[in-house]
Amino acid sequence: MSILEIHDLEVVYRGRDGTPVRAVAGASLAVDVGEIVGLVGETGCGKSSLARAAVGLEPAASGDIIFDGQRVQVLGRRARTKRDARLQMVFQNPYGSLNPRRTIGDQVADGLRILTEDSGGQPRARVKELLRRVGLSADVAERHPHQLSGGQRQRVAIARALAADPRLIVLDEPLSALDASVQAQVANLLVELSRDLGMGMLLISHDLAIVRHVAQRVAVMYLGQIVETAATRELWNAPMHPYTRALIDAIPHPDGLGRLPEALTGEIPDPARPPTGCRFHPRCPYAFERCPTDVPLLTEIAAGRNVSCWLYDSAARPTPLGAAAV
Amino acid sequence: MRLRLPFMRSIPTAWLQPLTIVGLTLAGVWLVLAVLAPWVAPYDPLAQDAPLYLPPSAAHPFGTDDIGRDVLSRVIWGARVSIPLAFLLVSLAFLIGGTLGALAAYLGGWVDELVMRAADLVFAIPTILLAMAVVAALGPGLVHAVMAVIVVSWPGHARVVRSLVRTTMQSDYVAVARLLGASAVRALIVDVLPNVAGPVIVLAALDLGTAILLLSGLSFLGLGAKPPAAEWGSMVSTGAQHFESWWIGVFPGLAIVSVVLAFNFLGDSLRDIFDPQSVTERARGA
Amino acid sequence: MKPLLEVSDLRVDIGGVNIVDGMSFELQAGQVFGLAGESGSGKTMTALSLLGLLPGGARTSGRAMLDGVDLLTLDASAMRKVRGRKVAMVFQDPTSTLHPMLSIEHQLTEHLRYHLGMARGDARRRAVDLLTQVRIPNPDAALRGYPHQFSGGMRQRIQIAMALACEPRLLIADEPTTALDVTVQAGILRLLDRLRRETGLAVMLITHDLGVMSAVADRVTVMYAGRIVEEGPTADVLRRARHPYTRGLLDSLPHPDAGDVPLVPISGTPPSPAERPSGCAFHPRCRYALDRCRAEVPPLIALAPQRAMACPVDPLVPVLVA
Repeated sequence: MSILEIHDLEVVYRGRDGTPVRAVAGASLAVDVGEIVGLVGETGCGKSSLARAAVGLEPAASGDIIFDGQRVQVLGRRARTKRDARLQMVFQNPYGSLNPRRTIGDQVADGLRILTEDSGGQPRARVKELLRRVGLSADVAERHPHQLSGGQRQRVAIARALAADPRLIVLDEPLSALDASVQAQVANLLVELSRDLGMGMLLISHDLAIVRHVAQRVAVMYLGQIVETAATRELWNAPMHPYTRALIDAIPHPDGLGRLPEALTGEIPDPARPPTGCRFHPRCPYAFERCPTDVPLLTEIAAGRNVSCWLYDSAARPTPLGAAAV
Repeated sequence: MRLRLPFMRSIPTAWLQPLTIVGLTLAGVWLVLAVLAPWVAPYDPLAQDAPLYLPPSAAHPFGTDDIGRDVLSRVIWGARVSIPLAFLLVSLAFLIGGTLGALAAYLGGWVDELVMRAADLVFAIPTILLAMAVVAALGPGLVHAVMAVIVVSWPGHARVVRSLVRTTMQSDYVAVARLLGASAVRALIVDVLPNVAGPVIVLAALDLGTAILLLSGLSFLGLGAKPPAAEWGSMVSTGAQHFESWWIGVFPGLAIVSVVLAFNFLGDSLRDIFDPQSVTERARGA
Repeated sequence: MKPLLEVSDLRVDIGGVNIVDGMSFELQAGQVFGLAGESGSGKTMTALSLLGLLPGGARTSGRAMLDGVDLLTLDASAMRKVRGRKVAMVFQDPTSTLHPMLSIEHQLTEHLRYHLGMARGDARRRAVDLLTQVRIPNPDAALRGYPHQFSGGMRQRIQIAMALACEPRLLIADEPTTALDVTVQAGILRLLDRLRRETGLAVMLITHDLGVMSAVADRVTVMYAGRIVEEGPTADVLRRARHPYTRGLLDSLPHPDAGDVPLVPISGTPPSPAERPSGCAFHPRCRYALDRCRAEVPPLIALAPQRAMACPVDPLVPVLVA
């Protein structure tokens, strides 16, 4: 049962010289109730644009975003509907996502206003409860953001989102700005919350390694398109798309074995002028004649496994990646 | 340079900087003088009984002017003119300019264009010239001078408020508030305005000094206060015509300087106070 | 073999707050020396002190001997001769270290003409060589370009080329790949490794990322709150970490081979320099903390030649080692 469905999403913005740039060029993915899906990609892949469009912060040029069975409304001047408010977002920068002039308690209480529509004494107890839920002491409510560390602020951001009793939270790089030793804490918190509250999460990250410990399914994004989706374990054990392969091989492991990670040739192309056909083909070690000419579609190869790559199109090339390298 | 006296412990550190204390003291003194002028001034500022051109003495500490009026009394009464007018002026400029700026930022589109182009028009012309032109069109007099200064001051406020509102509207925390169900108006009031208030108050404080300078300047040119009113700018103008009797122009001039300095120091101190992040960063030694 | 750089008891205080609290280490030519730590550890200040780049109001003590000269005692003009010539540095964000309004050629040849007195033509030829060395495609065209025309990874390569222009003995790299995508990072790490093998360059690599350390560093020195807590050959430190902080850090990192085991974080957060705990700065977060840990600063104990750590408890075998 999907709580969030994105179909063929396109997000376009105006580039520096006015030309339209498709930051998201036809992406589809789904998040089930209570599931954590990781969206992984590097700079310029459009994951942040996808995240913002998914919650309605930015308009989609085309495509559908369905939350809890209904289309997500783009945020205008009016207040968001109660229904839409159960789709929340946590941002990357813990220093920018909290208002420096308001107390923590005030900000966490914002979400309670939609549900209970009262600003009496009742919210204070719930605010303290929410703060405790994310691992902070209740007295944090009286403080201001500049008195908290990055990790604490990120927890507050999560508490804020939880106040609206969300069914799904989109998290845009929630861990990147945190120290390594704190990342693990917040990552574990996310897993715990999802499990305990039956809450879905779309976790966006460039760090494939940490997503592995948090997400049940992973979608890989490259230059505006989703190139592969799979259950986390399967993605790691048997990556199908050459880009996924490259991402995994590029991760340096802290195992003391002195292995240099594999580099990917070439550069990320300019999103305003993407390559023809398969967008990854100029950098792909397995590219063949079909790749520059035809755009591959995200197709289901096996249950829960989707890839957009001509290597897996039985008409073009019968053998999968593992069996025969070029 | 930090002073440490026992009674200071309960006052926040930012208030205890030397410049703040000087600014506060000076401004305080002038405010008191302005309020208590009728009781503090030794003579009637309009009385012309004293001998003409008397240099500073025990009876007339600031001397007398070209028609026998006590300069000290006139300087004190001058505060009653300049300072309240400056406050009024800045408040109006801020209200008009700030509202226009906020509307421009919030509504965008043609409203934004209109307001910004009007502001650009004002900025394109040198301030004092434009003020003079406005007064010339309306006719000389203090009221018209005040209106002229408002006309040249509102764009500064409009620009600052617009810029602040725009930046905060695009911040992540406003996005979060919107996602949590706040309407755009609510987000504006609860999240944006508090962040805008600080820098705006600083600008207003600094603008007080500029307002006084402009008013005095217009009066100096004969476009503002009309004789025999005791106004610093026109007193300086008289002083310039009687250079040998230096006390006639110098004391009102010093009054202008000290008030403008006081408000400038205050403005700077307010900037330090309204920026909690920089204060705590200094404390942490980062 | 005589070390290239010998640092003894380096202390750095800024505004009355202690940042680096007695660092001693040695660096050999051709070696990649890794300095690992999180925020507040003092690793960046250690590097900046070697090049006289500390903020005004900083006070240093100790010695840093390079070629018989104590870097910490050099005056401004002597330091200018060292920077770029003997010791070079690359920083995390190439966007802010490359001048946005000067061409690549200008920025690359500047050092060559200042330090080596090269003529324009020779300097340009050398610049092309440098860009080739760091694998920038079309070096001739690249020279005419400006920083904003290049991607983050390319700019970092250019920064490295600039640093290598005058063939320094030591390259300090402060979080050189932290701001880059993982595939781009892999390229830079390979580049650094190749450069040091080809030219005998010594590299001081500063990063919080133990994966990066594992890939290129020969030795790792782990810093916490201004002090060294563990040091040794990379393989040994990462595979047989002895200090509770190092162990904790490794356990909290996602380990691709560890399967779906949840991460084991270290509770609490790294202290800022102004708020360091007494005794062993790690004790509030340490699961093995004893009473003495709060009272005394544990000394660095030598476990083997070139291998040391600063903790009386050996977490592998929960028995007091000293």
